[in-house]
Amino acid sequence: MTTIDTVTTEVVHAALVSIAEEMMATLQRSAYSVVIREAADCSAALYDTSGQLIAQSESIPAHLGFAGGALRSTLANRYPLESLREGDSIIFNDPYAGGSHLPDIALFTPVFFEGRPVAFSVTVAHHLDVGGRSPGSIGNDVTEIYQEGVRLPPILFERDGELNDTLIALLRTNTRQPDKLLGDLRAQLAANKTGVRRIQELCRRHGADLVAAVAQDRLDYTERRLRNCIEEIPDGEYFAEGFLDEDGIDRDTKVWLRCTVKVSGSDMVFDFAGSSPQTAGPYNAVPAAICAAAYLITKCVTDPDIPQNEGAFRPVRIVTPPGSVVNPQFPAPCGARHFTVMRAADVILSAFAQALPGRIPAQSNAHTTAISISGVHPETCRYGVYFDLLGGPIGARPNKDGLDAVDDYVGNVMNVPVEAAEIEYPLQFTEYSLIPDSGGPGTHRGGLAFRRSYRITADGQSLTIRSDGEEHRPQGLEGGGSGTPGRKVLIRDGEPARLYQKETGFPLRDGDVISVDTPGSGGYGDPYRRPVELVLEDVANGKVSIQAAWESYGVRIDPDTLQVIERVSGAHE
Amino acid sequence: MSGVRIGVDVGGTFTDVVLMDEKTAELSLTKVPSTPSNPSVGLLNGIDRILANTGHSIEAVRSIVHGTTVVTNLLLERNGSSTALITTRGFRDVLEIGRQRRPKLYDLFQDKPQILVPGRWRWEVSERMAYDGTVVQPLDEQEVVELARRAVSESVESIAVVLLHAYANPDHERRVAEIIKSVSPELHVSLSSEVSPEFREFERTSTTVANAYAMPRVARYMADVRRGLVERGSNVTFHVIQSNGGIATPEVVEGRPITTALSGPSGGVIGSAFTASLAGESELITLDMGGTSCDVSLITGGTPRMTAEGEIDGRPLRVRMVDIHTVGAGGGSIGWVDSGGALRVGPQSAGAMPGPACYGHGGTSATVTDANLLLGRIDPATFLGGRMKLDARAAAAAVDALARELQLDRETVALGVIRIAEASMLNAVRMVSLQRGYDPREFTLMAFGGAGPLHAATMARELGVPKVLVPLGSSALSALGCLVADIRHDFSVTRRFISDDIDLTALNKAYEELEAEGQDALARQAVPVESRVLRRHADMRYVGQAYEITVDLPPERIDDGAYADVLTRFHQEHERAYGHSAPGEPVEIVNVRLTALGPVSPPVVRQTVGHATPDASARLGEREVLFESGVRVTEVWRRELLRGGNVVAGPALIEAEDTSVLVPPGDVARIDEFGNVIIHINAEGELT
Repeated sequence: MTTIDTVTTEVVHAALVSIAEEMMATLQRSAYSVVIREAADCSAALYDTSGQLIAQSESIPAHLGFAGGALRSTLANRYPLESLREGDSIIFNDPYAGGSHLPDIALFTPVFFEGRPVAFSVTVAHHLDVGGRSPGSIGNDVTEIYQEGVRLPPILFERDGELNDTLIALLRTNTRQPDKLLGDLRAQLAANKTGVRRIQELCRRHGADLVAAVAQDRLDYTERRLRNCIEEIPDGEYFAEGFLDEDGIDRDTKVWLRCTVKVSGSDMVFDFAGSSPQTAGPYNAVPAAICAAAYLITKCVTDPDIPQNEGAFRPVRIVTPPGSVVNPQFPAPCGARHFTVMRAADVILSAFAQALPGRIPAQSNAHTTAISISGVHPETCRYGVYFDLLGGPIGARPNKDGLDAVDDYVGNVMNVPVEAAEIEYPLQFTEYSLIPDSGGPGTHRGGLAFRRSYRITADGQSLTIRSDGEEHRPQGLEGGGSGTPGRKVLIRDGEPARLYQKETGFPLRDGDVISVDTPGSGGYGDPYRRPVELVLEDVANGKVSIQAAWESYGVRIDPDTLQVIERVSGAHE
Repeated sequence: MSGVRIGVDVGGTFTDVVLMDEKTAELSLTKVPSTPSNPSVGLLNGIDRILANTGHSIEAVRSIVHGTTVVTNLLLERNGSSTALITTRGFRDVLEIGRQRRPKLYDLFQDKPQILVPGRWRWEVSERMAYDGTVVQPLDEQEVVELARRAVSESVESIAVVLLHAYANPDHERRVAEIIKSVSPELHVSLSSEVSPEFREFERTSTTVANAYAMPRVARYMADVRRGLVERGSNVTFHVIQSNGGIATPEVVEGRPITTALSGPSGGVIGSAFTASLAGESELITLDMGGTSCDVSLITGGTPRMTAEGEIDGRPLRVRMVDIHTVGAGGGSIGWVDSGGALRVGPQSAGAMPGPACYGHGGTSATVTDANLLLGRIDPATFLGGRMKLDARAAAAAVDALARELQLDRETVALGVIRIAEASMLNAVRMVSLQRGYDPREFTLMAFGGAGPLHAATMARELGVPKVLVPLGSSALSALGCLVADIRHDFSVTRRFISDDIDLTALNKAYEELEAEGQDALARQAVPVESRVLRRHADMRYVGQAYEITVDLPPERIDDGAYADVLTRFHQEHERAYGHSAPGEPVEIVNVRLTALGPVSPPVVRQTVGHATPDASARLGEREVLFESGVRVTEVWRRELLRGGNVVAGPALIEAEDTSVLVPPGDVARIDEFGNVIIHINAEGELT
């Protein structure tokens, strides 16, 4: 490369990344679905004409790279590049042709410059309802993908700038929330067109050939950077396993995720051999979804600043045995794949804890509890689906405490503000608080779980919960304790009773209170080595109880004066 | 006797002072060191100095307006006062849980922003309001009494009170304040219903807590300033510039110090808007490039763009502020080679110490300033008016080290460092313009700060911007902003109105209530009734969306016709901002807003007009400067000796004490009658 090219490359690449970010901002801010706008369960990306990822927004890690397979299969099997024209956009969501799960709808828009295709502008967004068995398309008791909603093979959503009215009519009649679905698709299309315009401007400034050359150069550069990092990980095979409590149908059988990370030179293989067979319920994850977990953890343990493009995927291979929970066969349902992907990420990270001791945190909550409460609001007489995603926390790190009540690795969802929810839905929250002692004890304490409690203020509402982690406990590392498991309780007429963690369509009454505790996270290192002033501070701030200070940390504290009475040290040595 | 007006910008390092003689309209500037441990000292020193310089007495001072970083700094350095938080029972952890997001996606070792109120001082009281303001559970007053006593016994200085839905009904919060004050009148109290009466409990809590945290220190600071002025024999009312670009009295600021969180930068933007308006420019992108970072903002129709979604150090602040986007690109930004072998610049900065290698303070990293020096764009002998000699050899050594790593030559690397820094600023400019639906080609780029004018013309060419404006005395722009800012108060409250079922009577009533507050605030600042301006705005969205667009409303009573116009405007704004709209769909108003303005008469600035050909004395000489297109012999001019009407063709450098303006080949600079440098891009042969 000539000397000027180094700089031009940096300049043009920065522009490509900022195009993806701008598309993402447009999409998220103008979306209707709470899952897109609050949970930010959407992403924007640029692909080259052969379906290689050029740049992706910093959005939800669950989407890392996954539209690539979908786009490549679309180009190979349905719409060859030469059949596409300016003003076309393709809609798609089929997990069995490269998608992830049905609510994630991808929109591909080819970018033309001076009459020839130069790139694809792509957005993927989780839509609020795509039909199927239950509101929000999140049923737990489904056994076939047909029960999970509308399945879209690649179809022209727009042709020559004209929207496909037939398809839109069909979509409208197959969702519980047609205005939201269409509003969000409009936001996606607008974001794609922003991407189209920006790429055209970039080509006008620098020439299409130069932009394409930079994109290719950056793939090599990214691969080189990642390989340099992988070289530093000791060669070897590192195994870890973890489980989901059950799959929503067979309540007695755990679903195991097993992964061997094989590091050799600058290559890594993530082999999921030994994982459970595909499940009857919707907790299956297609390979495109599982890959995101591998890409994500690779980035976390190597260099978090590595650009997001195809080059970051090249040194990594993912092996998913057909017929297993990480490579289900048609027509297995896969709507709840997020749980499987999150546990897979957790397992991969645990495997790296052996390869990179002292550089990996203890286990995190590693799932996101989804709550949907739907029905007609008595004041507005409108049908609504309230959707809430409860994530977090993150486990203790080798040098510091975990992060309390934040969503962990695969996701990064925002909560719905209590006041925003009460304005729109027949709900009155009674509690939103950190749970003391939920973080695994350790020299560094695990992040705390939280409780969110909802009082229902109308009859006729229906509850669906998608969650796990009531049996599974996030493990500590290097002598740290485990985090507490999650639980859900229904308080009806003052009587508390446990709720099934994968309840679908549970009928609620006016006055019911639903209380959800998320799981905690693991601690790191011997808790008896935690500095006594930190234990004292946690007690003063309500993060650790006086009882746990003594039982878990060996620090006896006077409840009246909050002074230390006794410190047992080295008890674990 | 003629009066004078003084504007003071208290920055981190220097305090800039501008004095305007009301009769002659002459502006005088001076600069004194800031005194961060007690900023009032630097402020008063600055006032003493400029009065001495200009020979005016303290009695002649008609007004003092100043910008302050007191609140910004105490939030960044977390050295505010001991603060407690009182919430609705069950919700004390809202502050700590935040929005449940981690700040970075892939960093295993990241931290959340540190919490300003630790768990032991976050207290709950039994009470509950519904979303519409009806009382679900009455306030338990005895609990409040006990908490107030506890605050006193634990030496808490300030209390934030944030009860759910208090924006809809502030009764419980007000009662809590009364009880606290009855227990201990010395305790400072901040109510969410006064600081930020908008829905979304975390953001409101974060804002109210930051306000409470700043309150005692700001009150002491105001008292220090007031005492200092009284000691000097002045009883003039001084004002503080707020983040919204308007000014307020100390009494207002003491109650809502959080409105000054971006005081300094907002003065800069207001000063820019004023200076540009003199030059006939109302559509501007401002580029304030200093040592460590670059602030970019947008001015449309002469008015700076505002946001209600600002934050400092990761903490959301829901108060109206000038919308400033900051990127880590400044003169001190460091060039480095990443693990993939690519040249990168920033966001790490060499800061003031050790600073760029050429400062000779032991810095060894190649910075943007070092690159500018090697390319001939900065004169090592005249930097900062010659007060600081630059070490070209140190700069060369630093850049050479980078060049060896990249296996490139020195000049290529120096040019590369500059282009990459400019690229990150360009992306910031695109973000505040294109991303919000504005085409930068319809704007003028206004560049200031120590480093901005060196890069602006190149960036303008890249953006397709036709003109660059470098204001006269650009380093004192923030202080100048203080002189021209209007009295301004922003009011808002969450009220929900859905378009298919709109209650216009209730909507008008909501505005009338805010207007009563606005009239009240302006009256307290002695703004005459006839000059008061009240502007209505609304935060609107399609039903089901979560982000709002702020739309202007007509000032008078809203009837069906006016409301239809408002809806049309909302659809248009949505189309502009996001590229799509849905005119058939229901739209809701979620917040009503009011801006109350008391216009201040702007200073008259003197004009000078001369010939196109500059006076020979203004020409300092020529030197070789390296551009992307190669080495060019470049004329060097002295800014102070150029006169209105003078024209200088690129390649040229116009050197001033505080900054240098680079006029690349092909561009032409013209000095306007106010002393601003206007660079016309690609105008060779048109103006000369």
